[in-house]
Amino acid sequence: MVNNYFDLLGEFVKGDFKNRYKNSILGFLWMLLKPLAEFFIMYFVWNALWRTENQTTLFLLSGVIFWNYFNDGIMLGFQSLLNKSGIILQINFPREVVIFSATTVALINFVVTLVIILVFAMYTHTTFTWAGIGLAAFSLITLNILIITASFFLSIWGVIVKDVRHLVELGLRIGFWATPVMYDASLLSPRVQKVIKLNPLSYLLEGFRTGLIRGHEVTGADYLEILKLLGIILIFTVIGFLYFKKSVKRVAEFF
Amino acid sequence: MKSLIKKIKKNGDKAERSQNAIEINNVSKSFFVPTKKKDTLVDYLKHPKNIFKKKSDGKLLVLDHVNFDVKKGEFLGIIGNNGSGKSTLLKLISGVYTPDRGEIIINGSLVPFLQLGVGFNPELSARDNIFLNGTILGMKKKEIEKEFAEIIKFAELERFIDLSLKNYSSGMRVRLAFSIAIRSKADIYVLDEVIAVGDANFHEKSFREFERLRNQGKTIILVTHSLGVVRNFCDRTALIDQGKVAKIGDPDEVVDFYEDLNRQRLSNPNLVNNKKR
Repeated sequence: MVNNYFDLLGEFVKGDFKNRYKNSILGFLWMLLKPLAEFFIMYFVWNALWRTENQTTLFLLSGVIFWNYFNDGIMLGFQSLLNKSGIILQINFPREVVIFSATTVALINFVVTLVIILVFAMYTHTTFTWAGIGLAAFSLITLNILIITASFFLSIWGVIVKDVRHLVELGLRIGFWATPVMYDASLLSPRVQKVIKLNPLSYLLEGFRTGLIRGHEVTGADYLEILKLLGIILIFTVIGFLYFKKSVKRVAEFF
Repeated sequence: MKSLIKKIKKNGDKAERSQNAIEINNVSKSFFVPTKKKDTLVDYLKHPKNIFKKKSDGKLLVLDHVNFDVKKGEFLGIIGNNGSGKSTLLKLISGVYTPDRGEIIINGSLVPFLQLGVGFNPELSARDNIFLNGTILGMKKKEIEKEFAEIIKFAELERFIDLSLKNYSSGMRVRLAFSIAIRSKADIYVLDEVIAVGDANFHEKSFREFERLRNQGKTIILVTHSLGVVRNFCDRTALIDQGKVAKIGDPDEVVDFYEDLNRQRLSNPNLVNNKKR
């Protein structure tokens, strides 16, 4: 029906950012300032507490920004239908645009923090390789698809049953520690490692981190690992999309 | 012979179909109405017996086997008392709700105005809001850029275009919303009470725009409480009463019928049936 799909997506994303930084003196500069401040806080705290070396700091930071991206993406995607309920109740448009715009907002925020990390990595003389950059990008694209897939389900459930919100928040807390964000998975006991391996995020974080920090170690096997995961996720993406399209027709009755 | 008649009839149906902008076939819609507050798990723990009690939640039948067509280029008015199901019908036509039973066929592109200024963000400037609202109404960015000057001019807001919408008076806001709405490209417009806004001057302008749309062969459906408008502007009028089409046809006849009905009900309140549960 609507042939202005991308215009609509663009307007939603633009509106979201404009709304957030409107009437502030620094405006869009906050997009850069906030992650930069967060970076320095983490950098100095870790340095003061544990005298972390730059390589360790980079390891932790890459984990933290990866996790924040996932966390934001899920929360925004989950709330996307609720946040646009005013429009959904008034007019019929392809509802999935709402999910894509929420995910795009999270992605844009992430890219800004990524730039900060990249500058820091260059400062610590990390050597980038094309294979590494490719693997990191591939992992992030897969993560993005994972977020969209989860949003297809969560956004609907969140409208129908309000309890889902608390479950999602709790799940994210558990997920943070079930993903090797703040620790090195290879240092864990083999049994715990097996559990961690059940978490798809651990593969994606591993791919992102290895590609970013240890680019020269990247092999074809690393790509294959992510590719397999992507295959599984895509099955759920298709199911999720069909489920979303079917359920969203009734969603206006639940607001 | 019989089959021939059937065949002719069928072909006739087809020919008629292409002339219809909207076909509403046997559409029913009901909503769950929780008659008491929802029980949480804690409530059940306090009164464990309630788990086995039957839920008193009722189903409210809002629309009951509604049937009618809207011809292409027609200006159809829809009238009825509050709670008769008019707005639900519009939401079904607009695709916001889906019918429980029956089907709605739309031939052509449709833009609904159940409320003016859908998606308006008070923090953003009028300029930003024109693009936001316009794309929500199905316009392309390029189309909006082309129509931009016209939109501002019609809304008479040239001087305030970069002002945040929250600083607008309600009248200015409505003018802007209406101005965007009529620039959106559609074959069918669905309007809910939008004309009850603005000062006399703008009111007059709005109706000239409706005339213009009608002359372009657009189909318009208007839900309203102002019976004068219905008599003067509509080609046909449908009266929705208690979830059913009580009467459809010539506006004067339907409005007279509606006024009689209300007079009777006022003098004899027992005539008002309770809604089915």
